[in-house]
Amino acid sequence: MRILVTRLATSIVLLFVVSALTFLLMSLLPTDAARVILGTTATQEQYEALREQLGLNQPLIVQYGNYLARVFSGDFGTSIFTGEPVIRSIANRLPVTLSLLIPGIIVCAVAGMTFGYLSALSRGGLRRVLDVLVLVGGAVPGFWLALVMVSVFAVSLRWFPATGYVPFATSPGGWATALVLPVAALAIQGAAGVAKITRDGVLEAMDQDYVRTLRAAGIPRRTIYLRHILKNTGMQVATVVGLIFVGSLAGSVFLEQVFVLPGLGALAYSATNQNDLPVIQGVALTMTLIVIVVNICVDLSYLALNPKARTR
Amino acid sequence: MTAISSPSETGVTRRGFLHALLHEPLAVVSLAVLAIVVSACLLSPWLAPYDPLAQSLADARQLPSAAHWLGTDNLGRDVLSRLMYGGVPSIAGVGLCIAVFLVLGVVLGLLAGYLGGAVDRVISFVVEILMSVPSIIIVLAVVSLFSRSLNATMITLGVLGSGGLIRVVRAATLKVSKDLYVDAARVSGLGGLRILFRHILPRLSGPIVIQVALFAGVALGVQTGLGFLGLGTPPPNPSWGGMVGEASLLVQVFPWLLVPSGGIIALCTIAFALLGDATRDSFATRVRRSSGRVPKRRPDSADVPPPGAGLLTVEQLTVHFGDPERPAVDRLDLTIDKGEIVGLVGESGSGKTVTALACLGLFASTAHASGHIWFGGHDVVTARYRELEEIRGAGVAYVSQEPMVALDPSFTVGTVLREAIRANRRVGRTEAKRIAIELLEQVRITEPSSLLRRYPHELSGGMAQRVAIAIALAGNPSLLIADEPTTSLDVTVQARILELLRTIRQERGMAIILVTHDLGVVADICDRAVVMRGGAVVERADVEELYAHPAHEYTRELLRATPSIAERAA
Amino acid sequence: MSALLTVDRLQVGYGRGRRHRTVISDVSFEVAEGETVALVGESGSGKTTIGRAILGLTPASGGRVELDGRNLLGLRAAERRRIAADLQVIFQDPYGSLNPSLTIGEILTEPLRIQQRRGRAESQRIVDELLERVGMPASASYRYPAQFSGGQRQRIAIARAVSVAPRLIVCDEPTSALDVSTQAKVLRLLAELQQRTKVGYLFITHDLAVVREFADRVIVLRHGELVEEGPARAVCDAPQHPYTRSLVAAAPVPDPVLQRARREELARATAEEFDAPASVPVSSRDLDVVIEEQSL
Repeated sequence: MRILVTRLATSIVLLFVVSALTFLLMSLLPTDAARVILGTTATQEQYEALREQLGLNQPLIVQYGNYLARVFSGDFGTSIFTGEPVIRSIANRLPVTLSLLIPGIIVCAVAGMTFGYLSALSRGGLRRVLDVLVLVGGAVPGFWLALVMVSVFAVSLRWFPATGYVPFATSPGGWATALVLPVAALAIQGAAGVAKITRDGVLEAMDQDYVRTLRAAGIPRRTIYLRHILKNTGMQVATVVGLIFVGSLAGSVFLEQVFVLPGLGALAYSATNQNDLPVIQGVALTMTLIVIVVNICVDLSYLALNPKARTR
Repeated sequence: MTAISSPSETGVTRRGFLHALLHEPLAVVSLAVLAIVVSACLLSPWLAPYDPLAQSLADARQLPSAAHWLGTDNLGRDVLSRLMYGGVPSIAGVGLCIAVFLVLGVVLGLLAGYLGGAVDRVISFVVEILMSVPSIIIVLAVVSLFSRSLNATMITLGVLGSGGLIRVVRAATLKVSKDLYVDAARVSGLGGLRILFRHILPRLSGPIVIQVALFAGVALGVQTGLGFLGLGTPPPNPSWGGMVGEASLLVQVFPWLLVPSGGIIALCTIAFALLGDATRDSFATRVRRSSGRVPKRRPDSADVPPPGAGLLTVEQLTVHFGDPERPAVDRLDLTIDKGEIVGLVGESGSGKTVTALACLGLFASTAHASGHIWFGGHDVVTARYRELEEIRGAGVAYVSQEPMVALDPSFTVGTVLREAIRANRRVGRTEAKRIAIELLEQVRITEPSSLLRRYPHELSGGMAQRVAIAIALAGNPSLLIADEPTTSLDVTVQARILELLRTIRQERGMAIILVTHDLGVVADICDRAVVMRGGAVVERADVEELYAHPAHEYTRELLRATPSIAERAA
Repeated sequence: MSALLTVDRLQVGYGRGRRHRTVISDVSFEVAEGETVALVGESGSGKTTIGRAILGLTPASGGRVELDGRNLLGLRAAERRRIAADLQVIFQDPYGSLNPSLTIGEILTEPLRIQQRRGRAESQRIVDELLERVGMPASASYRYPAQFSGGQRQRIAIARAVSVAPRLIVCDEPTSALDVSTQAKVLRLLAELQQRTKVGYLFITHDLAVVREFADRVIVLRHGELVEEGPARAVCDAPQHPYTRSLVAAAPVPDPVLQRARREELARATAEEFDAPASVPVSSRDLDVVIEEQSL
């Protein structure tokens, strides 16, 4: 249980650190919100007046305090560029990103573990083929893989749409077909990582004394592999899956560009190009929250898989 | 004695590390690939066949040819030349990123692992933060903040990524500083810095290289990814990521362009990944694959158990691990009768454990076995997996040396015990539970029903060994193979476990092969003893005869060398 | 004989406040010049912790430890360096106790050159002599630990310990990981060295049979407390404390006839007397582990 308490404590600190960090970074920008809003043609007086109005002439720490106070009341500010409340753009775009991330991580975990197990239990030629697949799958950059898939499956074969997003509510079928390529592109690299850790974990477990005990007691192979070894390698796999999920946040930024998906990553990208401070801060906090939720899930899986973690 | 663990995973010799790495073909190949790519890029002003910016609309969108080895792009620029020039920012970026990553990771990891205490807590907390920050957002922010400065971006990425390396270096430092030689250095009064740099750091090279190789792949991915998004080198100057971006615009009309641009990135990433793998292979103890599979040997139809055979009959068993000249077990004959306790005695390397495991059909995958081990009409050496599953548990059972690692740490005692019961007897769940409690009572455990819910880490060594024995008894075997069952236990616990084995033999008429190095234990419990050396039997006799009149010089030497708590007769 | 090592009411514990656990409570003993004193006990008895406290690898929480009248507790690295010439150690695990990335020569010359500030050539000469004295060829200098067997490595560890001509060597289960025939040879080597140099041994072991044959005096520990002390033979042949009696009775004798007689006697004597709850040794063994982790 201590593991969860520690996790919650670090999570709170983490939220503060990330908010402070983004705030600090943004305050270092050569330009500020007032300048962005007014453009270059405004007079110095207009600029000063707007700074006053936006609270930009107060000390940084005060500005940060004000910002935190607003965030706590659910107000992430409004986009400098579009004037839309940040919380609303995030709410609009979060489902898109989650539609990419969650199926992506599920495919990644299932496919990765299957490949890992197959590789550990096979030998000779099959094993080498699997290992090469894992190696190549883990090495090709996701955005490039996405382009190749577009060129093959969307442009040449026309099986799936090349770009775009259909909300689930509009058409579940359209939603699914639109996501096949992005999810695949996102999952492949991670699946390679999961396969590798699974394979190593299974091979290592097979050499453990306890497996010998189980074998010697006449317990069937199937039970040993699918129950004992699976559970014992579970923690390593869960750790890696968690890390891959965090990493796939980065992947989603690139992929949302390739597939023109209106998700958080795309939002962050356009906000970066426009120096849209409140939006970047909002996205950073949202992504941090996602990371925190993932980490808590990983910790919960430790509790489920490892009896020692429970008693600690 | 077999209790000694082989040198730890980080146990590479300093000379051995580079040496071994250069003996890994994969490492050599990937280093060579990286060297060629890097030098081709850095020397591009002299080597590149064309000016990377020279347009020639007449030659646009050509497939590879003698003139343009990798074809040309939309503006007729030579792809190969652009790749060579375009690699420079990638190499510089990844290099810078790795440098930051390495310095932060090694320094902070060493400090956290070696100093411990508050320093460790602070650094570990920082790592926790670093690993949870959505780094891509920070990187994007830095890109926009420093007006697309590649250096600032890659430094940021190095900082954000260093959490993983800090964690690995810290763990490795902790592990190495537990090694006794570090204590020996402290006792010698060597200073902390000297211990850190001379005795600990060199041992960490393996894990560090692996992490660097992995992270280099990530850094390259992000660097080219940013270029792809148009946040890197401004056009028309070439960059790998930018070239993928240019290719993406032409996916519909000229997909070839994707191949060289993505290919070079993938090639480098694969080289990094292989380098990491090869490093790991070169310093980790190679994973032995004991699949429990029987070594390949076709059963000979003429092979039948000898008439009047005992419960278990070993005939001319020979096991070697690749070198037939140096067998681990050499033409061994052994007969075990019902209900007797036979000691298999020898020092390390005598082949006693290999022999014992062979009786269960447990061979390492590298093992080559010949001869026969007859049990209940089956030849264990050539038996199929199905047959072995039948023999194991219900015919021959096994108890190993280290009870704490012999039990599956993730399952309760009850779960494993019930599995073992149901694998060997056709009983339902409730019946299995009843038998489990009965078995635990038989191994003299006082509160069996509460023990069923316990996990192995909640047991003492003696208790765990009792549980292991109960698991072995689950199939009601007629032969128990006990491999140094008391070596890791305290002497008072040992006495009680030996007493238990004696009782079980009396109650069940079960035969026991006791593998041990301890002549005291043999004297205590065995009826007969077989003394082994170098894979062969040197002497076999009833114990009283063996101790009173050892026939072989080696037996005499062993007896002389064994200290005794009480004055012996002679 | 005047005491070479004095351990006076040594206490070791860890944790603070309510979570404080005592691992060693008020253990006192002495080791004289040229004497072998065995510290014997089962896992969790604290025998290793006492050795580590004397070596400064685990902090003591109370008491006094002196070598030749010089305090040994709470020393800093520089002070420890001065003591190091007189106090050395041989560990149990011959695989872990030598740095795998250095040659035997580098391992053996390091203390000579760093502590005693001897020159390269002189150090090498001393090392060659040492190797010969422990029965290793001089060519061993240029090889790595991985190229030697357990027994050979333990000889090298012994060479490192005696290289600075110490007055006292803490031997922490130096032969427990070795085969019996190797153990006999290593013990013989230790005895020879002691005869020649009058070095004192604090010999930590779980094996009473070795104690009886090798040590002069023995101290029996249980759960961090001293239960019995006396001449090794006397304690082994006629143990006074019930715990020592149970230890002696449980150690099997390599003689089937004698062992059967002892076993039958034991069965009569300790039918119900000694069946300690199993949880005790586990938790106290954990203590040892925790202590080691704390001290790092």
